[in-house]
Amino acid sequence: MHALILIPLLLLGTNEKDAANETKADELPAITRMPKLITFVEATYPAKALEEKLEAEVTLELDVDAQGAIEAVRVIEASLPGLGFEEAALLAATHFIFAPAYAGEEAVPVRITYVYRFVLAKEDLAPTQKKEALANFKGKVLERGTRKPMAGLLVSIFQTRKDGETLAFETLTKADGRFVFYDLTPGNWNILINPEGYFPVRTFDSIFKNQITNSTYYIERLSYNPFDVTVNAKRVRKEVNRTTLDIQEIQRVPGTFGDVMRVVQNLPSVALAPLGEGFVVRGSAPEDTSILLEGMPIPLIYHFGELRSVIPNGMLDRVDFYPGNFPTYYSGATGGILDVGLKDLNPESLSGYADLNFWDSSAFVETPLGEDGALAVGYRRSYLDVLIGAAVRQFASEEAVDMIAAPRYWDGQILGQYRLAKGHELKLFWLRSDDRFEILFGDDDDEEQQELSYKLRFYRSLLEYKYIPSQSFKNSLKISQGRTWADVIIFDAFRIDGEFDGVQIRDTLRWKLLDKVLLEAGVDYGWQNNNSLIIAPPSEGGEGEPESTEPDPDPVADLVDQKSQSLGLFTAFEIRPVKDLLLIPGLRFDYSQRLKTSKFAPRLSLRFNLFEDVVIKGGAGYFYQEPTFEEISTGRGNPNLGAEQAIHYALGTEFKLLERFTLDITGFYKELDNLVVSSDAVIERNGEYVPERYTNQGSGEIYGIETLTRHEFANNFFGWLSYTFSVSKRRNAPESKLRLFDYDQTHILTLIGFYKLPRNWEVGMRWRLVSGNPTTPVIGTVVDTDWDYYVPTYGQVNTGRLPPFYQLDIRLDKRWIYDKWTLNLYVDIQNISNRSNPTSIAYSYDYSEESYSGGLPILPIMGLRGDF
Amino acid sequence: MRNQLNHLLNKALVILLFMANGTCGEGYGTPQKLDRLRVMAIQAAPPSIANNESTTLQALIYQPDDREQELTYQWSWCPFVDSGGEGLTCLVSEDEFAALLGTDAANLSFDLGSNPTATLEHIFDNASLMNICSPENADAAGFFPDCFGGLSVTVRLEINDEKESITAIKRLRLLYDGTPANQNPTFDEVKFLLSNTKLGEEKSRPSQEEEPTIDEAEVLPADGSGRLTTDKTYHLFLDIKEEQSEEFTYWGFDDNAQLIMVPSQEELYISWYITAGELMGARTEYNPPLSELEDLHQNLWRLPADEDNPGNQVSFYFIVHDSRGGVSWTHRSVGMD
Repeated sequence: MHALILIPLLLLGTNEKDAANETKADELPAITRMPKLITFVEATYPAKALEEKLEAEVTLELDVDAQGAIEAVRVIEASLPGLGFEEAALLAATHFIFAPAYAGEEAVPVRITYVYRFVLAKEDLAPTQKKEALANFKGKVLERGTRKPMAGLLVSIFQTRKDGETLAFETLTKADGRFVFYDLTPGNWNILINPEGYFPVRTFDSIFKNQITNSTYYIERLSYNPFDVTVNAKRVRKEVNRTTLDIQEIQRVPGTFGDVMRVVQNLPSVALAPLGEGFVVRGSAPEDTSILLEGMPIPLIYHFGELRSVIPNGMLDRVDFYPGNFPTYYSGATGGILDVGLKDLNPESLSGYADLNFWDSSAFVETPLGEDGALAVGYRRSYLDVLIGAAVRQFASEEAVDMIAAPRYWDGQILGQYRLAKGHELKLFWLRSDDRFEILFGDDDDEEQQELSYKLRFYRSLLEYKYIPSQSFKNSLKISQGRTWADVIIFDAFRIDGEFDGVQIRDTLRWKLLDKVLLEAGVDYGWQNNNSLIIAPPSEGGEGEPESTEPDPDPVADLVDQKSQSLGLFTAFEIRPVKDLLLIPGLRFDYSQRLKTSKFAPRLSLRFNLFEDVVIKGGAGYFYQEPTFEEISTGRGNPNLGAEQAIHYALGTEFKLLERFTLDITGFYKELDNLVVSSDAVIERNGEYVPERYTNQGSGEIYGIETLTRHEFANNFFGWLSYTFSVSKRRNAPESKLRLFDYDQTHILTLIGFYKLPRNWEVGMRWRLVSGNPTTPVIGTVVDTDWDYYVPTYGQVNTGRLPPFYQLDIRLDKRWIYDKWTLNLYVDIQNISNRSNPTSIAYSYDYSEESYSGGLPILPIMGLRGDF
Repeated sequence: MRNQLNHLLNKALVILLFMANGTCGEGYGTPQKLDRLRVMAIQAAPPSIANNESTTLQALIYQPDDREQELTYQWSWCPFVDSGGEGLTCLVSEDEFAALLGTDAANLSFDLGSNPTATLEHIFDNASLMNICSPENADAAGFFPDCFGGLSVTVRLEINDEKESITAIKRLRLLYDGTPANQNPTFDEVKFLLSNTKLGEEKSRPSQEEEPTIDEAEVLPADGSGRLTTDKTYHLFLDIKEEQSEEFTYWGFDDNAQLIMVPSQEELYISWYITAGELMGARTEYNPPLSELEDLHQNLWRLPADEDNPGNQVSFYFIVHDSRGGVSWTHRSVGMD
């Protein structure tokens, strides 16, 4: 081992934690005893510096607590930066132990400046040939279960000689977890590795003459709780209401089966939507909220409308959810935005997981590609078709069913990342999804053969090129392309047979123009091609109106062959006129070739730090979205429709209630205009009299208040309570009265809790209480004797309500930790009390009786997941 | 950018769930079982009338034996009713309709009286009706009237027995453009035949060799003297001839958008009603050329042994509809052993 002469220099400093909380000098306690270094740790001399015979000083700032332990270490400066001296000094100083400082009789924490000097011994400086030291004990310390290299750990070895003397050495592990000891005398050496937060490693190894001993040690964490992660940097909050969920949080929420998209349902302002319809956000219809992947649209979120999301968690990093007032980066929605972000791959070695549960099996693997790249691959497949295949074939033999393909889904993803050069990064993502089931009733030669089938497959590719030459400039170019094939047949009642193509290109620039001004600007281009045949019943009464009262309305066919383009330009400034105030004015421009219109959308949001830990936030903005292609089609809709519009207002506050408790309260108001509603009118179009079908005469208003109280993970507990009060109303014409919206849910209460038990057990619960959806009561009937059925007479629209919804979900996890992998058994039970939560009203044939129907029963999922 | 495809697929899912619920818009329960006051059918004889002709209206009503109150009737008609959901109420007043016709409202009345039967006279000249059915008039009126094969008008009947009231409607055609008139379908005997299988356990598609024919069946007497056996399954037949599915023509367009008379053929369907037991189907249909007459005129019926049937009598009602508003019915009662 190299002999070092280190000269510590101790300087005293005051314990000022925050410039804003300056304490007057005469209020500071008088230090009566200085802190004294009692355990010094020798730093590893940087190899390159040693080779070049370089010496240096590193000035550190140490926070020493009242027990004498090091709370924090910061490098202030180094006389020779970039050669490893700073890292070596930092690592060593982290393990210093002091006798604490005193102010009178009381031990007090202090902040001191410490200069760590690296000085070579004379023999090292001498140019004479020196004896080469033999590195005869090499080792590596990895974290048990994850195989993560443990850097900066103190490794102590000692040997008691025959004469009773104890020889001891210490060193720190490097970034890759490796350590080296030189010239150890042969024999047994005791090894001790005892970092905080881990079970200690106490073992021994044998050193032999002229041999090198190589060992790997696996050190086990006291807890493998996902929340024991260190947040390296807090995301800067600048939006009025953006909630970002980390994937680690998401995977444990009960009742969601670890599905990213489902967790969003537990956030404030998100109401329950009927099966498969997405999210009802702040009283807006499900189709008014866009669900995006890296800011780009994807055709479907779930397999078969509700089962599992099409992108497994392994590929994802976060979910950004905006219930309203979203920035100019986004457009084409009047509700909210759910933007799922892909992870930045940074695997240190080959790693991944495999998951096996009742529904499906999935696997995910990621690996580095050299020093500058990484690759991840994922795949998931259901096996309902295998499990129920036998039962289904039995059904087929009993009924006149000629062929069956039982339901099955699969999805696959590839994510690649490569750093072309400093500041130039490339990311490529490809996603494929395939859903299918099919039943044919009757023989092939039967003219009345009926088909019930659902075949939906799509792929999406996304290419992103990032140019980040400095911290003040970033440009991101994203190109997304994909195709969807849909072939859905429901007997003679419904059919979609089509191909849908889409390309989107977006370039976004972020540039810090001045110290207090940052510019974000970009351009957005979209191209869509819709080539499809749609055969479906004529559109019903539309939102808010009762369903069609015809028993079997003849389906209407529509052949759509439509190409359309759109262009968007957006810009926003982040301005900090004073330290505690952030203003974000923005403007968006959109041109739609399909609607042949242009629109400008101004938006503004602000955040103001009223006090420490108290933020006032607000915003207002203009938003719009195109009608659906069915509403605007010539055969089934009205091609002259315009865009729907909304103005959002929000005002709220965020503050810290207590240590670990944060509270977010936001009031919101939305004005809706130009809404698409059904019409019975007859109009003249191109010289012909045609039914209008739809018109832009609808409007509405939504208002409410939402609260979110979060308890950060501490004392083994994590959870949140969200409550929303909201009222959502619509009218179908300017002269009509406002009525409740179909998805109005006045009260939404969600309570989530998660508790970490000993021995790697974890338990979580979720409880929800939600107002029932509005219903339109039936107040009478008329017998249509021509068609032999009863036509209901409806009362005022949405003046009734379903019973409230409440449900309790439970999740239990147990982990086993092995050297190179971990195994997690989980049980996720949705609706553990098996409560029947009605989603609709069923009537008798003459509407004289009614009963509630719908709602999922108790739904347990058990699964095993192995991470390596 | 909105998720366009998701919206359509959600609609498909809703339709699928609707169908899975087995209701297809009809609601739960057994509509073919008569256990309360019902209006099963309204007949207009004839179902379509030309200028200066009239039609006689009567209703097929079922009143349970324990309901002895006298019924009151109120008949009315209306040229344009709402599409449903608001009670199929009349969209025009007599004055407004008269204005559309260009006639004096004094001779126009939607009220058809309060007798068990009613009469509706077609007093409107062809030119007036042709005018109402023109696209320009649709624009003025704000909706499209149903003028396929004559102007469709709606007859409304309200019956009341002091405990309950029922409103029923029926459509008929006022001819104006030379479209041939429709006739109500006719049929011969009601027949029955003991089945070899048990209702509920029969194959849904018996082979041709096993399917009995109407020629093998016995006549079910109309005087109520017939007797059937409890817990036995019977084929019931309504002897209706294929020519009751009338051929007709209507004004339509050829491939060159030229107005022509388009030939077509009526669909027939039978609504089957019972006072006890269970039927294989509440409705049977004939839709040439997609289905056979045999699919129309027969059904399976059984009275389970454990079903409570006071009086040991069962009544059957057979109502035949054609797709142009024609309707006829008959009724049989049997004693049960």
